[in-house]
Amino acid sequence: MQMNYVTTICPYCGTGCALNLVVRDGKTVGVAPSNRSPVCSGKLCSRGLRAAQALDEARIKQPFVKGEPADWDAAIGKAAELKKFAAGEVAVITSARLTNENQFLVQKFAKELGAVIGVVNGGTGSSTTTLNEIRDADVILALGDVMKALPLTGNKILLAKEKGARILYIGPQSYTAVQADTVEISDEFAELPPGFSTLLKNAARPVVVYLANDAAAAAFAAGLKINAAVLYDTNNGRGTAAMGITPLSLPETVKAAFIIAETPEMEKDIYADLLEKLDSLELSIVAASSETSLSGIADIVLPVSALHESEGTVTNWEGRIQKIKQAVASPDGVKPLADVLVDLAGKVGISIPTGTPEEIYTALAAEVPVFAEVSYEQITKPEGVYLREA
Amino acid sequence: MSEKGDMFYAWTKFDDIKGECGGAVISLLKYALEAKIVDVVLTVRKGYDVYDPLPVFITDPAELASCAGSLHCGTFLLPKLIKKYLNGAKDLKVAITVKGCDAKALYELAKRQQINMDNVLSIGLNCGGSVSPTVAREMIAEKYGIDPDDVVKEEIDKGQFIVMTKDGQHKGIKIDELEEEGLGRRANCQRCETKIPRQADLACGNWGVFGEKAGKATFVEVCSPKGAAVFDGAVSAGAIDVCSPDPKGLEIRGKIESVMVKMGKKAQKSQFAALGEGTERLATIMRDSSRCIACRACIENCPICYCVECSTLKPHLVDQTKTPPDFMFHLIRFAHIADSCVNCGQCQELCPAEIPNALFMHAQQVELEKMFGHTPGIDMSLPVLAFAEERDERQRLNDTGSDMIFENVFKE
Repeated sequence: MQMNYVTTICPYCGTGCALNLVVRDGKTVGVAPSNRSPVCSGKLCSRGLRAAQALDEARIKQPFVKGEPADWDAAIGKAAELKKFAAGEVAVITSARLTNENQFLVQKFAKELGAVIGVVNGGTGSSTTTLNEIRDADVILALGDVMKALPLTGNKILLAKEKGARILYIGPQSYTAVQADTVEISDEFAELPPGFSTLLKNAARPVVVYLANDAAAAAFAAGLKINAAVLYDTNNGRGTAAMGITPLSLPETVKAAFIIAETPEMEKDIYADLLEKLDSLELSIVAASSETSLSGIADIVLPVSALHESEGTVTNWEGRIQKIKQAVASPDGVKPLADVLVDLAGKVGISIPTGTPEEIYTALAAEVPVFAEVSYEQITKPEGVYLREA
Repeated sequence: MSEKGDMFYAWTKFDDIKGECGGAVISLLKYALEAKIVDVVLTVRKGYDVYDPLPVFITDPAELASCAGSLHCGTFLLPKLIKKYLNGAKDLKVAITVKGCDAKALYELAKRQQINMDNVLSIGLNCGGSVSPTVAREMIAEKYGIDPDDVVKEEIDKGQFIVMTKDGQHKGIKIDELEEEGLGRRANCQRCETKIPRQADLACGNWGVFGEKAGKATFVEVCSPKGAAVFDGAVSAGAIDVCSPDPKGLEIRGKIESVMVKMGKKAQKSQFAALGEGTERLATIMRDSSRCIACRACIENCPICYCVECSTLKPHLVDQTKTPPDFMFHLIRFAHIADSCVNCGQCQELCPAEIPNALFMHAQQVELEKMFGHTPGIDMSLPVLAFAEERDERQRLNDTGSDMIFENVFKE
């Protein structure tokens, strides 16, 4: 019997809690707390506690073409039909859950192909505050149910409240509303209720907190001129945005789509909108580690490694880059996304960088200014390293 | 030949083992693994740094040397890992190092037939309490004015939390002073009375090592026939050397233990008093538990929770769609666990909603103990809820359509 803990980052929201995957004889069998994590002190929410199961659930273990099992050569060969489409007719639809390294390769792939690129479940904006600053804030304004979406970020709001901070809330009835002391139940952010303005104006350390995919909240928060926590509800939404990849808006001209549908189970419905459009496309390719609604109907399905099967880095909403570690090997028949991208690039006649995750990271840091000056080696420490602008 | 109650100074005879105080614990574990008394050792090793102790499952005796030394940021509980990942030691022999709460958790799991004690060798470690790694780092930066990354060792001695840096700087601050500011040991550790875990097969530590052996030997108290056999075996096999303890050392060890137990009782008194009494206490508990996000981390990590079908997941008892859940969620936990709570603190330390669950549970446990006389974690005597075999009981209810739970338990 071989059994060990592998300290890595939770695959779910953008808080970036560390956790230990318990590995027995090459298989993940559970999740244990990583008390050392400066982000979560070992605490996890229901999703993190379930990460070991979620990462292994509903795995796709071989390629499919038109619903039929296929070998890799046939599937990649078929996927290479992407090259038949003109620039602007292809969309690369990525996931906000890829490592920074894989995301960089996807972006390169799209650029070389002349494809439009967009992310599902991502967001925009960067924070001017941190988890610890939320904990130490004296007035916190939450816009929407932020505590449910990012429970361990919510933990810092609760800690602030324990220390006497005022928690103000605008949004629909929700868990966050229950925890706030002053609440304005509303579906829109029209104007600041009078009591709120005074509290925020007199606060020494005020913070506004909202979700990175909530444009109305972002516009409202911008008017407040105080430090903002822009919460990404995916494990690498922030890193994806830092590379300049914006939320998907599919142009009418698109005839083919290459979709990287990386999402742990329990969140399948994020592809509901896309599903409707898939039928009208001439070619749809899905690369994913586990089944989603998309993998059932795409023309080509390519099974790729899950987040605990290769190493890399992710960036939490604070802009803290942290290391993802490989806990187990991929199932037979499954390839790392980087390898699939390189194979497919070769077949469509374009070239993208190759190398170890460290080499890819180094290439990324050389090209994307916010990552510059942070080396892969530095990211190993449990504190991670902040993006330069954060 | 040694027997229960015997006490020794013991130290390693292996060259590669550099223990905290004599290396006897690691040597005993190494002997047990080499002599095939156990198949696997479950203990703790330094992870990224001194703030990152990680549980390890060791089958190769050569790997044990890397586990020597004590780490005060080890706030987790090991026994439930035997249940979760080693099939309750049903078909595997396990040696485990246990601090007081671990030892008590081991007994409570064994009572519920979740761990087979026949296959477990437990080595107790004296414990004055542990400090959460994140609290330790912030405390060292702010109160000690030292970069936490420069710390190579920390220890608790003579009422102080002491840190040593890589350039040899020592700095200690009184634990009382730290804890008054909400720093220092976990709140449940402050309330703890199990400082020398005599429930284990052997109880080891540095308290009472006096005279020329100070810092070079481990104080070992033999606590069971199984412990005696392994201890004697390790001596015969040349894994450890032993001598009689200095009488002055015995006295010192007794004093340390009694002072710490008194501190524990005092902390219980003040922490429980802060909860209020009667209706006021209920209001406090209801207020704080209304932060619950129903993540189930408390259940997942509790050494008493073991049910295959958890009542908190039954929609007729707890509406599964509401966050925070109804207070019934917490009432179920109190009803099922409070009589057996060992105050390990996991439900509190790992709660994302910062609910002082362990404080609530422990406060109830001491009251229930007065009423029913059951002291959790000290021996194998059963509380009411552990009498029934859950699977058998559920089967019986299913088969007969009866709603009389525990009927078979209470029948004459």
